Amino acid sequence: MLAKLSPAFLIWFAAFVSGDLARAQAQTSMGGMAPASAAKAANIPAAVVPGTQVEAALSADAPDESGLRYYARLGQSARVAAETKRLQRLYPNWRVPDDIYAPVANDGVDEEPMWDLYAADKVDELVSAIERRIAGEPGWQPSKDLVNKAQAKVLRRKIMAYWQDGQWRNLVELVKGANISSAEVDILWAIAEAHSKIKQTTETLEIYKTILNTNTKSDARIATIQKAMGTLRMAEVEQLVAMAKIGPDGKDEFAAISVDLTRARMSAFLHDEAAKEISGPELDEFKAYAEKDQDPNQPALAAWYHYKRREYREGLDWFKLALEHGGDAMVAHGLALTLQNLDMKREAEEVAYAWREPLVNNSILFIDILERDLTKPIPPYIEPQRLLRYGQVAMETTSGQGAQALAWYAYNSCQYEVAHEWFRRAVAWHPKEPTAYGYALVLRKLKKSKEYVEIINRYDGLYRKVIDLVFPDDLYHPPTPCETDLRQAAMAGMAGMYGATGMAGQAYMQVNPGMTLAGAQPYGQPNMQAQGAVQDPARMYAWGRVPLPGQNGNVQMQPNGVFGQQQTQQVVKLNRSEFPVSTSPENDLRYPSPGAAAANAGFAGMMAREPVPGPWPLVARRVPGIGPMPYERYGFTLLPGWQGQTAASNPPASAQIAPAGTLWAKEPPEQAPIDAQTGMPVAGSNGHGAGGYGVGAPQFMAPAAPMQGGRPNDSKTTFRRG
Amino acid sequence: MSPRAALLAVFMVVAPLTVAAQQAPATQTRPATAPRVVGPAAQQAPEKPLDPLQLDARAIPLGGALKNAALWQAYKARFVTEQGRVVDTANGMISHSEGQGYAMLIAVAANDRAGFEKIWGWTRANLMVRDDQLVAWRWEPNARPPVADMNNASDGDLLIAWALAEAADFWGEQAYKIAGRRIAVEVGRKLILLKTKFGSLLLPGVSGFAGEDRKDGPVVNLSYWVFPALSRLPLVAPDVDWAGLTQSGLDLIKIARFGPSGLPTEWLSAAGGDVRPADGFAKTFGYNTIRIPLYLAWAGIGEREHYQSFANAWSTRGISVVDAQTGRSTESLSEGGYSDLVALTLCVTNGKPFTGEFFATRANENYYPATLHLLSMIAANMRYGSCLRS
Repeated sequence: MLAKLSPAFLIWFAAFVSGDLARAQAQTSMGGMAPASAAKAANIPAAVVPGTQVEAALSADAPDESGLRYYARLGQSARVAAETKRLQRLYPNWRVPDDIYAPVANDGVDEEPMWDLYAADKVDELVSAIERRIAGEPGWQPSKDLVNKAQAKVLRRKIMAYWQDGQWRNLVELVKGANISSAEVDILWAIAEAHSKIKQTTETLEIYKTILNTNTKSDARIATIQKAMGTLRMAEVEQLVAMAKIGPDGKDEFAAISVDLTRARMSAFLHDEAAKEISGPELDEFKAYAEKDQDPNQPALAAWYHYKRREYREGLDWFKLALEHGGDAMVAHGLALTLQNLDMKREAEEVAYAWREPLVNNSILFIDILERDLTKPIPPYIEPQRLLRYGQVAMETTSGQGAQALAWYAYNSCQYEVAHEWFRRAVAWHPKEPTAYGYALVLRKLKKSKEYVEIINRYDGLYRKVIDLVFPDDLYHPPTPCETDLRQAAMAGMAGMYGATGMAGQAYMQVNPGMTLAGAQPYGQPNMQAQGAVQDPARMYAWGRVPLPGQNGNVQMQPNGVFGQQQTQQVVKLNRSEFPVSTSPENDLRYPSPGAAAANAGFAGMMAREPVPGPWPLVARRVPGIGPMPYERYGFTLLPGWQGQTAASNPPASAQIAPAGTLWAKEPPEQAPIDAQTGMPVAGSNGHGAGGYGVGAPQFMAPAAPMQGGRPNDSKTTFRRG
Repeated sequence: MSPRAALLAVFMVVAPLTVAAQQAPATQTRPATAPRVVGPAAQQAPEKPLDPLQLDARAIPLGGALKNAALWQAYKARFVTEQGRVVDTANGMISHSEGQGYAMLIAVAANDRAGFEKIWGWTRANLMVRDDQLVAWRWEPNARPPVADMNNASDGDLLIAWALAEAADFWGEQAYKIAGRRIAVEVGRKLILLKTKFGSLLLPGVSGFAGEDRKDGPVVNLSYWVFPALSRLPLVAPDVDWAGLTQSGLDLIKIARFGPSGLPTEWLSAAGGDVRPADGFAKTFGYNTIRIPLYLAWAGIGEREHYQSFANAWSTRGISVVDAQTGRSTESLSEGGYSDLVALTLCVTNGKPFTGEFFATRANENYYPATLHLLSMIAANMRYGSCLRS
């Protein structure tokens, strides 16, 4: 039943959409089938299949002429002849009536009220009216025109209902296989959209092309392009745009929507879709429009377009304009990123801070922008207020990046107690290698030996830099500004010049009065005799002595002389109370966000006891992704890794090559920022885009101390030693 | 026929077509490359195409979706330590990023913010040791150092990022949103291979699975497509094409069917024109891939054919590890939590109501089936109320 109904309907529908109502009327009765059976098969009552069984119903014994009349109306003379022969065989006296080619009676007679309902789109009332009429006047039937048009209206209603409900697949199935080329344009738009929604965009494109090929109305043609921009990729839309007619004035008919087209091309470009290149005049036209339009999205689009093309200077004013027009936090984010790319970091920081709450991207950017300065080995002077608010944001958002940045800033400016506090938070939130290393440094500096021992043992086998504290290398490391002799620095007249005094309410980051803070300022006075450094005449900077080419041997600068030459493989004397020590493997530092802490009354309830309470092993094992441990140079080995790996990983996970096809692989080679004081690239820095973050403390070796020979397999980040 | 019926028939002439229309997609969209499903399961499949699934794919918030707090309480008492570590009891008491992510999700569903904070606090303090925003996947309590591998597992990353996004949404906590965004964006940056012939692909880890790492790379695991996460991560990272990843996952599930059972193997090579079982891995349908229907159902996505191989296999012989080449079960998965996956799948495909067993607390289950139990229940609460009411 269904299998038969579907094609029958579609044939009918094809006729309907082609506007050939006569054909539609004929085909309502299903083509070659006898009308009565066709009507039955189609579940259409015989009474309403025009001119079929009415006569038969009236004279049951007379020959049934309905088939004959039916074929006659279709003009199928061969079938008329065959049916005539058939009837003459059955009824030898029967003659072909004269009127079989005459128009059928009752076409539209007395249907005025019904046509009124039809015109008023009152389909339900129309059905009821016909129903009442059939019941009240036996033998009456609606005209074929009315039936066809009402059916068309029902179908149209069905299509639009599917369209409105988003029942795309049902809509597509409904019209599948039909010749829809002459349907009304809004129906075609609906069908095209339905195809696009179920990813049949080839069909969508074809329907739009059909419209442009057949429809001459300007409004409809332009609207078709607009619909296409909403449903197709721009590369496909361009095929339609190319079908434009050129008017007598030489103007492209789609010139009226050229701004819309440019906008769609820009949007496609921003989404990495293939799109037509936007010409200068085209862009200018769009900008002229965007400048006047009050919608902030228009200048914002111009702004992001330039941003993506890395035309930051061009983009800057457009971001500002978009904000003036009421642009949102995402526009502000674009502005902050643009400022950052123009090296206007101070301004970028302000914008990101102001817009941090409505959009987390800005909060992240705020933390990341200043992180770079904060983690410089000789950090620049930063106003206490800026540090204060940075700390506040870090606390509110439990930002590991923010905490470690402040921790390093404090550490590198000799504020150890404050550094300790920030490092504890950083290790709770962000226990990366540089963070754990910095925490160990400050613990050692503050002589918190219990915690220090815990850290170095916990990260044995994982973080080489932490273990370096137990097995220092034999290279020269310059003193940090904090390690220099302050008295000598003061005598040189430098101390206090930039000493911050702190501010009211500033509980942390209070600078030690008298300390030199500014990165542009000298180290103070290194101990020249002990460290063999060279100095500038003003004794403001210290540099390591550069070896002559071909000069052999390591500079032995370790004052305590713990290690001999590397070749001798002398085993380091370990303080057994320090290392190795059985240590709980768990990092138990926790600092919940203020919100979480306040809500901590929640129902954590009874929880499991730790099933592995120790004691824990003393010998580290291999961890895939981790390079060699410092003590391996003395012949110590590690246990095999969890899957049996016995050798150190080379390269380590931190030097992993970006797999081709990822966004990561497409990132430009990292542009290391230039250190303002030294003019040298800052090592260990990282991109600060949406996914980037500072490696932690990019504690590169100060240029004052060129490293002797470098280190094998060293990652890009080197660390300052404490 | 009464006049009324007659007229209705005229005007509703198009209505029956919708039934015909609904039958079409299943056959129409089946790719030509899909291996023919033969064997016992296929023979029992009904010959006439079944009705299409009527699923609701709208993104639904997770917060508060687990009504039965006692189940979560019992789970915590057995598997979550005071510190917030989730213990895999059948696997040397280790922990992994995936388990931490699951427990974070369940805590949000159970509206247990204190519990969530504990688990997230442990996770970041102990597993976020990589030099990026991703999570080291494996942690062993009796080793030095406890982190067993610096590699990540992208399903663990997705689960944790998703849990943070849900927690931020449910409790209005900016800190969770930022943390979730940092992880999600890093997944988008480092782990999604764009514009492959299968669309976007999800690398299981940063190291070891790409074309650079293996001859048959990229190698993928379909159970790493955590579909309900992909539909909710736009909360924190709308700039990543999660929908594209969903689509590739759906496409791959249709074509990754092997042997008589028509089930996918755990590890797939996407190096050639078609997917095939990856080299060097057991060619089995196992502990990982049994979660595919759970994730589909939890997201409310997929068509009948996405579920059918699983439903056929499980409804005839129960859930088990299957040798994809022979189609034979090699290990029956008897703990109750595994059966809950079956119950959820048959609810989706057949509308089969859950039995009392689905709701029961089970004291002896190990971490993994116990987790699957709670996850299935949350998914059922969120989208399959009709199977709960019976």
